[in-house]
Formats: sequence, C-alpha cells, structure tokens
Amino acid sequence: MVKHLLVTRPDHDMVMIYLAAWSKIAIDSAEEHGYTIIKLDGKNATKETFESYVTKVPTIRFIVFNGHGDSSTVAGQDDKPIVKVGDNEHLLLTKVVYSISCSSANLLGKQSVERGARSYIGYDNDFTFAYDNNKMTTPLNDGLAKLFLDHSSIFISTVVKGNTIGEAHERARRNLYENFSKVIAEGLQNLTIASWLWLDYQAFVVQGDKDIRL
Amino acid sequence: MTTQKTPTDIKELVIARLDTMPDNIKIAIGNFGSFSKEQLKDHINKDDEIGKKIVEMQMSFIRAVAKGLVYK
Repeated sequence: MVKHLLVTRPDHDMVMIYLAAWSKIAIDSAEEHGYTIIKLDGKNATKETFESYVTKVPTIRFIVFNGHGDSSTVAGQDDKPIVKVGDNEHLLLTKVVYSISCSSANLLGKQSVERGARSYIGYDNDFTFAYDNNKMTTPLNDGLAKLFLDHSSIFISTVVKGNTIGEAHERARRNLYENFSKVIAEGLQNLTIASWLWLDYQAFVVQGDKDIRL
Repeated sequence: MTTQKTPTDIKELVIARLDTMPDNIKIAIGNFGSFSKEQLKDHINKDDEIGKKIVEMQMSFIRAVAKGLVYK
C-alpha cells in the first residue's frame, strides 16, 4: 500500500536551515521503510501548497512540520502560517502529525485531535536548541546541535519502522534526557546548555492516541 | 510574559550562568531567533521581551532543580 510522509522544510533563517538539514536523517529512514516523501521545501512550505497536497493525496499518513509556531499555529516559509486553529486544523483528520515548532502541541495539537487527527506530537512550550557558530555551514557535523535535534530523527525513524507513537515518543524523550545527563556530567560549565535540553525534554508531548502504529 | 521589571539579582544569576558558555555557541530560542552569549546577556540587561523569556526559562530550570524534579 502506498504511504506518504509530508514534510515542510522552510529555509528562511538559521533555525530553519538547521531543522531542514537535520530532518534529512529521518526522511532517509522513512524512504528506507517504504514511505514516499512529499517535501515542501523553502518557498514551497506554504499553506496553499500544504492544503493542496493534503486534500489531494489521501495516502498521506504522517506529517512533519518544521517551522516556527505558537500555541495555535505552525508556520512555514517566512513565518507565514500553514496550519492555524479555527482555520484549517480539520485537514489533519486521520493524520499523525509531528510538529517541530514552539508551543503548537498546546492548543493546535489538542484542537487537531478533537477534529480527528490521530495524534499530534510536538512541544507545549518554546523549543530551544544550541548550535556551534563554527559549524553553521555544515549543520549535520554540529555535535552540539545533535544533542538537541537527534531526538526528532529518533522519533520519526521509530514511527516509520512501525512502532507505536508512545514508544517512539518515549525513545526520543529518553534521548533528550540522556543527552542532558551527558552534558551535566561533562561539567558545571555546561549547566546552561543542559538546562535548555531539560526544558525541551519537558516540553515534548503527545496529544491523542499513543497506541497507534502507522 | 510579565511586564514587571526583573530583579537585578535574578538577572545577575542568569547572566552568570550564561557566562559559563563558550563564545562560539549560539542559542536558538523559540520564535525569537538565534543569539550569541553576549546578545543574550544584552537582552537580559535590557529586560526586554527576549530577556524576560530567557530569565523565565532559566528560572524554571533552577526551580525544578531545587525541587528535585530534574535528576532521576
């Protein structure tokens, strides 16, 4: 059976460039496990393009949003809203959504599930990460960013391998906590970096059904 | 986000913590963007929206440590 994963990857600022680069690992994993990938990259990461695909391609099972956001919105290129409470969250009906954006698991996540999304995984507070300014041109070689962003690859990879949303969330969350512990163990000079990891760990939540598999 | 002024001792505490970070590190915070250590400290000293957010986040962590919620 055909199964699609739709991923948005804006690239208008350094945060988005990092998220877009790090999502490659998960995309490769999804392809290896039989998913056809629909990539809305850069200027294609728009509400119009998203709505067009999600209404015309019923086999989209899994949606991954990379973007800025707030409790009721996930944005795309140039921070323009793609999905917003009261506007188009009904389009997430039957989908599993993972949103790597700030706070959207709060209201948008809950409303999406009430409107029929199977699960909405994201962050119920600000999502923060650290990166090495000397590695900006090669984000995938940035070991510091890896501490913060690896968990998202782990989550997506675990889902596409057929594990439950709950199992994937737990594994990803464990990765964040392990990285937090590792950074703390390296010394008190890392306490601030560790604090951002811990805050992300706290914010990473699931709304909806944890027991489903794709 | 509170509009009240952040107490000076709280600002100093958070800035002291930030000072332990290496200079080559940047922090991407929510929708606010990416900041160097010096930029973060500057925002805290200005007590603007970004500064208040940084302080809020760091104090959240500090309180959680004090309550024993952080270490398993």
